[in-house]
Amino acid sequence: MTGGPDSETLWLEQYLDGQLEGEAAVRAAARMREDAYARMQAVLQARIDESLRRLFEPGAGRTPSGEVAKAGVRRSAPRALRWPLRTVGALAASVALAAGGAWLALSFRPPDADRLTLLYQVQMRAGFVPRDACTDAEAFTQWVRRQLGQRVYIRPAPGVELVGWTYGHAITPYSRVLLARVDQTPVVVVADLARREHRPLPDPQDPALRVTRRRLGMLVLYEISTLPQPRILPLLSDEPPQ
Amino acid sequence: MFGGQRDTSEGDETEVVGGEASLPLLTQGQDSEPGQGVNVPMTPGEFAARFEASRGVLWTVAAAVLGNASEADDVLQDAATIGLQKAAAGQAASDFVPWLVGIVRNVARNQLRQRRRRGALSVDPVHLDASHSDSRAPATGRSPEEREFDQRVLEALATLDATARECLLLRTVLEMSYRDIAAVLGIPVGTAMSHVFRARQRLRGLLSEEQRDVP
Repeated sequence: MTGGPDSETLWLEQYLDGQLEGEAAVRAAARMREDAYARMQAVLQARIDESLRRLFEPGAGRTPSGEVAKAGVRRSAPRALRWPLRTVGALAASVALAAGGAWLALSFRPPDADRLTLLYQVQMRAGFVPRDACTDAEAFTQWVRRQLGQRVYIRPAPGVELVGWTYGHAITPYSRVLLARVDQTPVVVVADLARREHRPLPDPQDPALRVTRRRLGMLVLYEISTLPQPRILPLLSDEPPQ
Repeated sequence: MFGGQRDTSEGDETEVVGGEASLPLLTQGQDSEPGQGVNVPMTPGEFAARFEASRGVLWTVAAAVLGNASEADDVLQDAATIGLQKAAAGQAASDFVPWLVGIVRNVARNQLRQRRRRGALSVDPVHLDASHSDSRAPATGRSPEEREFDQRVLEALATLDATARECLLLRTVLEMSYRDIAAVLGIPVGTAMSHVFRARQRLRGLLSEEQRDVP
């Protein structure tokens, strides 16, 4: 099995593999937008990749030295590798953002420093519409457990309204994004597995935005809003509320 | 204009392992044939340190050859013993990781053959048993849908040859570059890439008919 894919599908494989840059990436993104089959392939590939990581992550819960070993593995070309799964994030976003024309904004590879700002702005421009509605604490816990494999509980608080979950390019291209409102002010919370975070995301470029980062078990979360203090992260716990 | 504010909550904050760490041992002896580098003297301590530094790659190769995750640790243990004996005899190659990968592959293949002789294997050349992987599934649990899908992925993975599985897992799970994959497996870069592309295509082809609930 040494022959490569044929030329008709090579672009898709390169796209999923994160090898396309610049104009080629833009052309591929446009092609993806018009090609339902390619979009389905991208979603399926992301699902397969997630499964492989679940099944074959070295040392998960077994050998502590595995973590040492992973630190010694070259995490090369991270920007390229973000593409395959960014495809999913971009695809999901394209559905929500078709009217807003934010597809290309998501398809372009934002510098690390722009990610939180871009993610927040995209959600604002998209009308703060979740992919999965999630308005109560129980659904919140179930969604996080199903998506990220950890139980996280949210304590009800006055003025806090959960809207739902979507995806966005933050820590990874498919980071989970909670949309909420606190006293009517939109709040975005990014959640992902901490092991996927190569380094903490830089501060946002928008001076109006406030970002708070928190580790919770095996998760890392960022709260982004214009509020002076984090309001969602303090409500989260990995222990059931008393 | 980096005026955004950043708070870091206290309490459960921990240091994140840097993701840009290189695979230093891989860069040694690059001029020689992968896995065939000049023999170098090595103390047991040096061997242990190098082995631990490359454990992720070695474990993934073992899991890829075996087709399951649960026995990869056993293979690594045996491979470490063999490697240590060779190192003590001055037979460690300067291309340390490719050299050890070769040992891991041989040990894993021997284990497969032994299991086959014991009748523990089905007719499939590689026994991809989801129960093995279930035993090491994250304690946080998987949804029934994830379990079902993982099972299908394992079955599809069984249809690939071992080198394709190695390339695919090194790329997908460890996020290695094709250059590094090629170096540790001793194959051309283009071949590693081709293996990954075609493996992905095959898996998607096998799983697409069963794909449900596509967003």
